[in-house]
Amino acid sequence: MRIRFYGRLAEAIGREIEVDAATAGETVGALREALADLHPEAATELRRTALRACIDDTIVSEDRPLAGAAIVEFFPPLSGG
Amino acid sequence: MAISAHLEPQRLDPQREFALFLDGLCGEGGVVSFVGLARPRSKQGGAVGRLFLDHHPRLTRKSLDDIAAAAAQRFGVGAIRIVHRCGEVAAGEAIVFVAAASEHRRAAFEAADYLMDRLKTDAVFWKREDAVDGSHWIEPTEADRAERARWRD
Repeated sequence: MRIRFYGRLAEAIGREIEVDAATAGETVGALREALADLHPEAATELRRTALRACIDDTIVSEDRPLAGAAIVEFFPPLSGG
Repeated sequence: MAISAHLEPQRLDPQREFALFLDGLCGEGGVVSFVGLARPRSKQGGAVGRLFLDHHPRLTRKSLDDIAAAAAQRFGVGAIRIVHRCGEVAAGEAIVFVAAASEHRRAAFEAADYLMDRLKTDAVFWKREDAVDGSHWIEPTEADRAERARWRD
């Protein structure tokens, strides 16, 4: 599964990483925790409630199953223009 | 191009954009434009060399389109143009150009004001300020949110 980051998370982790399905877990919330364990330097940011997950260009909830998702994107709070 | 938005990765020339906007009008009597420039100082007072605007490959453009369409519907203006930079923007360079044109001036003033308030909070950008005292990712301020809240129905 491909994971894409933006803003400060992209700076900390990189624009895109790959995570295998077993590590990712079953839901967006589980993926977030797995990523926080994999990237302790960005764990605080990954656990912020203001961080939003996005699948197929739609913001999704923490309990959204990952089954069928090829890419999950994580959006820190928007800066605006 | 009556209602249009553009994401610009290269230098933005506001005078050229304004001229193009005027050329595309169809008899509107009032035109209001706004240009936002990258400030050379942070809120903390440190010198800022540049901004970096990270963006999403699809949703950023969509957010600009949605904001332009919402302004057109809300104020009934005949023409709207948004041009927003992405990538690296040096201090002093233009980040954003907006223009609105309407039959009479009031709608154009209000549409331009609305466009900027929406862009400051709802446009899909992640903005980093590279200052002499370090780099900082920016999030909307309470003042930005208050300005945006003026337009809630």
